[in-house]
Amino acid sequence: MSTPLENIKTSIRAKDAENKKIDKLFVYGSLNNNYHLQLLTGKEFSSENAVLLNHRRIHPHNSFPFALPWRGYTIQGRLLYNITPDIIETFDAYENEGELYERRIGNVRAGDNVYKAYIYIGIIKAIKPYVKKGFEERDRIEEFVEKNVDRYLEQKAEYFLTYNREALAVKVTRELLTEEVHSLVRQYFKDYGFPSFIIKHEIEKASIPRLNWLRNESKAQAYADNYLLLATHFMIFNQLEEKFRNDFRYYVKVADAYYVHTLSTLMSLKFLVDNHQEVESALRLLGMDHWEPQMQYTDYAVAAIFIAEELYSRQKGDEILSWIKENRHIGETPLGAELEFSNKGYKAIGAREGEDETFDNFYYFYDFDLMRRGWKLGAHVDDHGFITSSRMRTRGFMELAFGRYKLLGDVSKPATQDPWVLSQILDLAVRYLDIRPHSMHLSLGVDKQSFNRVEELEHYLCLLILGGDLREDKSNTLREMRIFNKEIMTEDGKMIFSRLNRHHKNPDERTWSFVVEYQFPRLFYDYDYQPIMMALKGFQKQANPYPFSGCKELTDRTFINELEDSLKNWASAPRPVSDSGINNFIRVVEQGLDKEASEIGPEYGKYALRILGRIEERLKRRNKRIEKYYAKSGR
Amino acid sequence: MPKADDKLFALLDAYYDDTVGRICNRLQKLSPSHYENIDFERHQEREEEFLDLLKKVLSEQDWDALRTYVENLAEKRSNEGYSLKEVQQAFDAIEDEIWETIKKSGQTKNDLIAILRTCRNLFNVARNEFSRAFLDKQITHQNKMNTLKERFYLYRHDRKNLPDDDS
Repeated sequence: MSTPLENIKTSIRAKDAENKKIDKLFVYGSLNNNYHLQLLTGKEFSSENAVLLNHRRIHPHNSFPFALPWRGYTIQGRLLYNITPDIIETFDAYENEGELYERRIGNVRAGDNVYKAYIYIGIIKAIKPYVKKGFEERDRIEEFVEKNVDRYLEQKAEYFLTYNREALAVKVTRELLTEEVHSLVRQYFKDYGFPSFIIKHEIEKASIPRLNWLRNESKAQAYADNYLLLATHFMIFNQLEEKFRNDFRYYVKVADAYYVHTLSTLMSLKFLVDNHQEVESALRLLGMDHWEPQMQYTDYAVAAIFIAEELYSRQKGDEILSWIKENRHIGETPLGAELEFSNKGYKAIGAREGEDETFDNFYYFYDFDLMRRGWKLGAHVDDHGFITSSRMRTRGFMELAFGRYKLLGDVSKPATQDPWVLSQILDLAVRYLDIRPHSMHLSLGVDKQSFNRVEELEHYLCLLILGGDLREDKSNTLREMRIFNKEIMTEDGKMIFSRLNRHHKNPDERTWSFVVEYQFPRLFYDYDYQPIMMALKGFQKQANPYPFSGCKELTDRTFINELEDSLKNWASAPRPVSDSGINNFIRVVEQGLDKEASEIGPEYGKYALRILGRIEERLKRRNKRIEKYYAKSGR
Repeated sequence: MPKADDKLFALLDAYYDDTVGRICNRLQKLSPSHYENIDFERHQEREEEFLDLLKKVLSEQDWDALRTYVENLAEKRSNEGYSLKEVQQAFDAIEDEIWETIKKSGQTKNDLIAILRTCRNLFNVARNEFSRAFLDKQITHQNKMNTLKERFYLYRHDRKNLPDDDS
């Protein structure tokens, strides 16, 4: 007679033997999709429609579906054939078998037959947090790919960081290779998945930044404190952006045509600015504001990770999210922006060595690996020449190009359709980075075929009053500084008030997206950019003027040349715009914004009207200031 | 209201727009500072608020209002990343421009001295209260970070150097 233990063993063996024979898998959720199956396994499967018996499919809002045993219910799905143990292993890894899902055997009806097949049953307790975060099917595949990547990051980490408490080494590697990791995930989706050895190869060849070179570069050492502080600021931002994107996944998602990091960028910048003093105190306390020869680049990454972990809280994230939800106003026009920063202002271009005692005009930007640190914000150095290499030392502005996720090749997506979101990002970025803000280039998505000759000077003056920089110079003479200082002039004297630009939205895309980029706005501290953004949107939509530059179709440029001359004259001695000029401009902007609102809805219309009020108020107030200036000075 | 307070109030009232305008132009020229990157109208809003407060202190002898304002300002500027020095420079610039208003108003010598003394007194209180509150905020924030410091210290102590790093 056999013992109870032997009975159990026999039963397990019998079950194992039975399981070995099972080569079918019933799929009903994210696996019931050929694209996803291809992404995960690189294979195609023979299959047929089928029904899982005595189970119920649960699909929470904003999340992924799962099955539960439920007598009398059925689930429609598909039965995959020829499932081998190695394929099951991949699916188990994807489904987090034993943690998120449990693989069991169920009865599946396909045609007239009932088969035994594997099924993945949800573990409710484990699924709940995913539902809360708003994980959808694509997110789960992303998570699967990232876990795959993590394996190789861990291997790489062994070679350069011998401290591995709290899984720190892999966190540091991930931070330092964040651009490569994101690029791999993007590529994975685009190529319908690829084998692990490619991930391994890409991670192995990616370089980890070092500071050894700095010991022999005495000139660079003079600026090292500022560069490393900036690098740490970028890394703290990256850490928080990642946390927000993970914890508020559903809410920060955007349509594929837009830049994927926009809303999580807004959340993290808002968080960092709200906690500015904590961040700065922490940086100083950990010595991140100075370089010592014994410090390694990884030390700065570790400090950034620790600071982000110390400050982050889900509750603060909830508060920021409520703030965003209350204020969002999604329009129709795709918007993008580039911000220029320099502690030397417009003198950054053509500056000589040592003229900027803080960053030497970003000459060592790439040596400190700042393009990779700040890639989510599109950080690079702009010397107003052509970008040919990310390794070339040059002096110029530090530029943030939101949505430009691959600098070389000019690949970018619009940041958003929401002027409030973009305005907040600009203001918060200026506050967070604490480098003197210089200028803002605002891009509006356009249909390039239908530009008009808009010759009314006062329209352009109104734009300049709204977005330019009216201030008294050293001799107390009122000027519009962007034009007066020749900040938007080319070497041959042409004014780039606005320019027609084109970008690819994806690296291998052949088609172009066209934008009109307005280059005259000044970047200020503590500023509401919505009036200038909405004014430009309304003006472009209604008047749709030829850009000053980049339009080959415009053969007769006489009127543009005349406008340029008039704007230059005005900038050197700004005069008030007539009341009728302001009223005409407001009418054009209003008509444009009305058109947009009619396509979107009354709520957006109310928002547009509110901002139109601010446009009018700002214009009249500044115009009044010009009047007062002349009344006072008697000029 | 004491006589000098009364006169300073009247001068701030009479030359309000002119004083605010000069302060804003002056602040836009404070370089390098946060102030130079703020547009004129934003300065105008901020300085009008400050001048209104000074008038309230003078007319109602409400020194608590000045202290509360300055304390809030310290919290705000500290969180915005301003240095103590640049805010003190801004106070100096504003005081200078108010002195300019007083000087060109054609007061008798005795009145002039009394009004300038009142003005100096106002700004001394503002500056001192601001410094105290500003430094308090910074110390409080630093004290909150002790655990972080220990954690980083532990890491620096235990981590080994990179294989090809000779430091």
